[in-house]
Parts: sequence; structure tokens; C-alpha cells
Amino acid sequence: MNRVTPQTPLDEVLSLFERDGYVLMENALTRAQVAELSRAYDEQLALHPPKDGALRVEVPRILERDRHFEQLMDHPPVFRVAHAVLGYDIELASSGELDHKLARTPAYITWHSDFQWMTNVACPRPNFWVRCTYFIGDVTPDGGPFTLLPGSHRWDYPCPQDEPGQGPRHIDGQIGITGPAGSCLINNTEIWHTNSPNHSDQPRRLIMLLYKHAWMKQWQEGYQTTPEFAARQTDPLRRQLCGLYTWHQEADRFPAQDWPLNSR
Amino acid sequence: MAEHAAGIPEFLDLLEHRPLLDRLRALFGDELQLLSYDLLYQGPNSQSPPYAWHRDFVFPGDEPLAVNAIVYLDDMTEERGPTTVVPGTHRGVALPPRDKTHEPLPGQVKAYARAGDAVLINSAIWHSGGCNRTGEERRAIYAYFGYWWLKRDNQHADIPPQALENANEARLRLLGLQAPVAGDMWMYDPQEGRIA
Repeated sequence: MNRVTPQTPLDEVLSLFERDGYVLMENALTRAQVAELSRAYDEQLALHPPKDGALRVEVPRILERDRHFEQLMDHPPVFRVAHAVLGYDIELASSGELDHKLARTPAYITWHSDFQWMTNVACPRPNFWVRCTYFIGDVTPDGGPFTLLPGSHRWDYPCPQDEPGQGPRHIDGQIGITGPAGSCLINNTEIWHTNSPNHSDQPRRLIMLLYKHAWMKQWQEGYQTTPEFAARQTDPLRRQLCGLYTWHQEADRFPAQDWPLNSR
Repeated sequence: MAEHAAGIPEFLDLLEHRPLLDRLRALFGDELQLLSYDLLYQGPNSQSPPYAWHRDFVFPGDEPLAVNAIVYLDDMTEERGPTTVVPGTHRGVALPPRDKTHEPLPGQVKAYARAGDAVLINSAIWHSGGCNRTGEERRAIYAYFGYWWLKRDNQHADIPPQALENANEARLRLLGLQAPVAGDMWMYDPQEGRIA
């Protein structure tokens, strides 16, 4: 597994990311940050209890619900990787999600890539989205880890579908991404991915952020950043991330152009 | 020049002009969207630089995600400053060299179009408008098209209400006001043709 840390040279991180489509950054969050985020996470769970029979709790627009989550949008150790991959025209693709997979539950989604609907653009496609998944608790092998197939983002054919109702099949070479709380999985969403059953007695606790190029629309249907959230941002970079720069006319004035990739 | 040319009836009609629209649909199918629509105008004896190289955005690959369609209203002679491109540059991620923004580039090709012609270019290619050194006007209509999942060029600007009067579904799609699929676009199942 491609394990890196905030101290790993950026070139090395990018090389792994380009080859395999992902890296796991351990210690992306400090213990104190994990503790703060964990408290905020539990507050959200209290507001959004699981429904009867649910496999998970999903809370969209999580960045907008607590300032501790909001700070993740440009959290330097992780953001510098997303920025370096996508370029200065980086924006949020959504307002983030809390993804809480309950204990003792089967997989809730099968193998896919996030752009398999894009049938008019052949594989391999440009890197449209980068997902940054923060581990708010330990993710163990039997705890329903995010599962992916390294290198599949570069293949020239789309992800085959699983049989309906069968759950995700085993694919040789698949990796369940496990790591301690405070880690962050950074991946190209073109990589073939799924989740796996949570056989443990503990829920799997994640916060997911998505980044995209400024020229793409955001993820709609309740996941997009609200105008109110964007309007309250005062930092130029965060305003850019919320889509407040018109990409064509203002491409030369994106604040992210001045964001120092290698000094953080 | 114009904020959005679709507010003017003659230009609105041009958007649905079959010789143009059919070729764009051949590239983008029903996922075609108008990203911007403007008029390009230079008066006589312009003093602007001969070149202003740029690419509209960077995405490597042979398949265009967006296309500039330029319809000329005047003959693009050498003196009127034809649109110029550097073939093949759409396949890389490099920007045109900043120190040569206003200079001719190796391999460049000029589009000596006549009035009534249209030039379609992959917007990822290095391209430049020209400088009008004639005593007459230089006029063109500039329409920018791409997939429905791209943002409009100025996503904060309203579509002119004239373009929406009696608009059918095809026009609403073209203007980016209606997606080719309903519901959550990221859960679209292309085999089923519906949201999973």
C-alpha cells in the first residue's frame, strides 16, 4: 500500500499517485485535530441518527455544518497534493460528506468508477476529481475499508459491473485501505473502487472531500456548496474553492496560483 | 462585445443552424451545451499585438471537451488577422510560452476563412486571434460549446430571457438549463439510460 506522510517529498507522493491512482497519507491530522473532529462528528451523528435498517449514515455538506470540518477544505498536508494533481484551477466538487458505515453491515455499493456515466469520453480519461477521505477513527481490515484496484484509473476500458444483488466481487490485486485515525486516503476517482462489509463491532468513521477543476460543474442534488457558505468565505483561496472565480475570464487570477506547494 | 449574443434573435437562430449544430452534435451528441456566446469585433487599423497565444483550459487528449466555433462575417485575409493555431498542442498540458505570447510560433497554421465560413477548434489547442491592420472592420461570432457537465464560461451571468421564450427541451439543454438526465448526474447509469 502506498503509505506516505506529510513529510514525504511531494514529487514522491505525486509519482505514486500517478502510477497507482491513490496514496494513504498517515498523520494527515494531529491527535488533537482528530479529537476535535471526532467530537464534531459525534454531534452530527446525534443530529442525524441512523434510520431503521440503514447500512450507513451519510451527512452531505459536512463542511458547512461545523467550523472544524470547514477547516479541512484547505488543510495543508492534504490540500497540497490535491492542488498539485489538479492544478491552480482547483475547486471543491461538493461541500463534503460525513460517511458513517455502521457496525456489522454489508457493503452498500459495488465496483465502479465515478465517471462511468461519461461514455462519450474514452478511458483513460483526464483526472477530473480527487477525493480526500479523512479517517476519523481507525479503519481496520474487517471494518469495511474503502477498497480499490491500484492502477485501474489508467486502463482503457471501464469498470465492469457486478451482478445485481451479489455485492462487490473479489478482484485480484484489490486493496482495502486501512490505517489509523488521522490518516487520509487521496485518490483519483477514476480508479475502480467499492467498499466492503463491516464485520467488526465498530462503525467506520470517515469525512470525504472532493476537488475538481474549476471548469466542471459541482456535484448537484444537495451536495453542492450553498451560496451562503461561499459568501461567508473571506480568504481568497477558500473563495476560489467555493467557485466564486469565473474560470475563463479569471484564470490568470486564481489565488491558488500563488499557493506555495512546497513550503508547507 | 455582447454579454450574451443569444439575446439577439438573429444570433439565437444561428445557434440552431443545422450545418453548425449537426457537426457539434457529432462531437457531443445530446450532451452539447453552449458555454458562452459573444461577438468579436475589431475596428480598422487596430494597434493590438499580432498574436495573443492562450489555451482556454488544459485537458490532454484527442477528444475535445469543449470547442470554439468561430463564424466569420468578414474575409480573414492576412491583413485582417486570421485565427491561428498550433496543431497538436492539445495533446499536452503545456501552456504557450509566456515570453512568446505576442510572437509567431513554430508550426502555426492560419485559418484564412471567408465570410460565412466557420472554424471549429479544440479549445485545448494553443490559439490566437489576429490583429486587424486593414482600413475595414474585423467581425466574427464566437460560440463556445462543450459537454453539459462543464460550467458555463460565466456561470454567474443570467441567460438572456429572449433565449428562453418558447424554448423547447433541446434549446434548454443547449443553454445548459436542463441536463440530459434527471436526478443525480453522478449516479447516471449509461446502460440503463437512467439514474441508478
